[in-house]
Amino acid sequence: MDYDTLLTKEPFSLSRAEKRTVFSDGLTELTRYHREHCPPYAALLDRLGVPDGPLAPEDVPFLPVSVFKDLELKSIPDGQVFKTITSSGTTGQRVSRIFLDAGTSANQQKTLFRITSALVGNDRLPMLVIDSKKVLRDRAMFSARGAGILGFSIFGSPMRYALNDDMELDLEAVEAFLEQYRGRKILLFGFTFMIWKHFCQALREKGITLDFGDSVLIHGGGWKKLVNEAVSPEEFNQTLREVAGIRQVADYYGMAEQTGCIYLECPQGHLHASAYSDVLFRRPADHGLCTVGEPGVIQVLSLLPRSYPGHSLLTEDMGVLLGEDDCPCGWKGKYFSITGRIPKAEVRGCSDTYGG
Amino acid sequence: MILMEADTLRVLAGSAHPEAAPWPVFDPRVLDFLSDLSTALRASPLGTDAEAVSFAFWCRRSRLEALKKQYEGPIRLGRGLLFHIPPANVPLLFAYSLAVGMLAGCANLLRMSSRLEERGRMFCAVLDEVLSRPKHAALKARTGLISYPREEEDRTAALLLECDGRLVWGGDATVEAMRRFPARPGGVELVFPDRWSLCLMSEAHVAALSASELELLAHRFYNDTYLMDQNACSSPRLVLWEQDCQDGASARDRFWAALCRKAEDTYELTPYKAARKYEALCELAMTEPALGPVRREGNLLYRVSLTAPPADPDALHLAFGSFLEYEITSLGELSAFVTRRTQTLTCAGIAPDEAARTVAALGLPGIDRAVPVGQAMEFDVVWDGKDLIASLSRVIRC
Repeated sequence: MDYDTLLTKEPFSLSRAEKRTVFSDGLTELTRYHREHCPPYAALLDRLGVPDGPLAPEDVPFLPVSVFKDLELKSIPDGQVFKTITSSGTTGQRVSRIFLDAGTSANQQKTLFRITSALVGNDRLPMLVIDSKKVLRDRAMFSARGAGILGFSIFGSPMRYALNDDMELDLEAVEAFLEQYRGRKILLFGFTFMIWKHFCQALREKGITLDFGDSVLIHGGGWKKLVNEAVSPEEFNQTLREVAGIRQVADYYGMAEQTGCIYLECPQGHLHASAYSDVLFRRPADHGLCTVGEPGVIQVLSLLPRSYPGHSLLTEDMGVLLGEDDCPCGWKGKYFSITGRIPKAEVRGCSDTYGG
Repeated sequence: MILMEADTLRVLAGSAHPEAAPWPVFDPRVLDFLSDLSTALRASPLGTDAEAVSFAFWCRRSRLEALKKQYEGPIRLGRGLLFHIPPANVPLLFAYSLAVGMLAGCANLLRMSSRLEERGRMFCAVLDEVLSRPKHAALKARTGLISYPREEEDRTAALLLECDGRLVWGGDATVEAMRRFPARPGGVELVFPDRWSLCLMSEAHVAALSASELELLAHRFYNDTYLMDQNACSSPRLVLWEQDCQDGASARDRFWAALCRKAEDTYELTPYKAARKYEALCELAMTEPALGPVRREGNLLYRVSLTAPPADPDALHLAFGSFLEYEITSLGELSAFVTRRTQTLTCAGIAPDEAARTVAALGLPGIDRAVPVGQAMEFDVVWDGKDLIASLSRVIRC
């Protein structure tokens, strides 16, 4: 099944057996494709002794997501690079560079649209971005946040921004937006920490309560920054309901290295793998597969990346598989939760001292 | 005079303003102190800590007396006050740095990392207690272990101008950072940039070992590598096998299997280390042309074979139990692997002095020490090829 055909499937409709067939075939083909088109990737597979035959999804070799920070990996000629996505990630100053051709870039948009439409429908909605428009203008700030906003902008018409250039809540603009679109379904989008700090807390401090009516808020970017403030997902959602009357809140998990293939939170509060990508959880000691309920390092598999060898990546995040095909929300596929990043541990060695 | 804001400066042991007057090398007052420190450490809660015990053993009186004999003859006096920048993540290296400074007749000021681990803090407490005994008052007045935020560069600059020498551990980045600070015109500088190390093993030797001898070799090799996350300058990352028996492959497998058993029992491969280890393996496998097959025992042990000497031996960054291996037929082949960054050659089945003579005969730019497997981490007053006692003292000719 080619990717275009796969995209015609409903995003949360593939059951385990069906998906396994699609992914075995698709990942085998992609692995072979990247082996033929990306020499460093081929060198890795040769040295790891990966056979050139059919691969079960769990046997597909995985690249550590961090290699995109050190190496330029692409499976297309330089002339076909249509766009380069960069992401600072959290490992210091190093930046991931992901090379896209027109096809992969278009598929990212389509995939994001297909997955997110499960929650917001197929029509464009009035959309409020809980961020500053400056994020799109400022090259230094662009990257993950700017790319995220642009990616989700396909759902918004019109799009408004809730924060001014100084990252302060522009209450006037927000109230005008609410007034104009009262009675319609509203989409809100932003990054978890920005929403908490510049929207929830700002409204609380001002003692203002808004009512967004029929609304869905999608947020991503992780909980890391909120851990310090001891904010739980429950409190986050509850606060949004209290201060802004937001009816539905959905987190998502995703990364620049597999843009488009997001893992969306269902109404039960579980992150779900869509029909277009999958997750595996691996034990740090030997990269063996975890059982349901056992925390492990998250591996993400996607049939999307064709311009760069990013179809099987070992992330720096830990998570837990909660089940497959049987979430009470009705969505098929694996559902899981994120437990955090791999904790940074003190490492011995001579070459560092001035750091502290 | 050094201006100090008392609130950010912490004195972990001794005095914040050490007196700089030179003492003779191996002064009896220093030997008495180190001997007392050795005894106190063994009686303290650190008496069960392997690295603290190693240090206590290193500075026991009989050893220091023997060392002293090597410097007898000319009249040697310390250079004055030394500023030490010890690394945070080599446990207790600061203790060796301090002891060397003292033995060289110098007064010592150590800038300790704010990330000092629990063991380091306990060590400082024992050190301060012994220094504070009345009989060591003169030494206490010339010794200081201090800590302050690294951002206070004015303080570092001022302290360095007060000092007659500096010892900069911690690799290239630290050396570069510290070189930005001017020194006194006559000040000495001992710096320890990034280095890496290799191991030389005889296949015949390994093949002939009894089961218990093999376990011992694996244990020693483990101490040189895994014990320091294979991240220390002197931890071998490359094993050169001397091809000197019929079935070299079995000998090599035998050794790695024994090492794997040892690591299984002892090494704590945290998720973070496992991630960094796999990342380094993948990056090397994607970039180094001279690589053969990789063999993995879970994530505990990676064996990476070389098909030829690498273009740039310095670029073979592996850690946490990842080893490159290559077979050689004569020691002369060492030259293809050694750069000026190569520090230690550990040996099994080959005499270290023979290896050292080969290094000299080949005129290699690197390898500053050849030691038996198991002694890579053993501190020596000659380090990175430099005689620290001689460098930190001056000779009065008469």
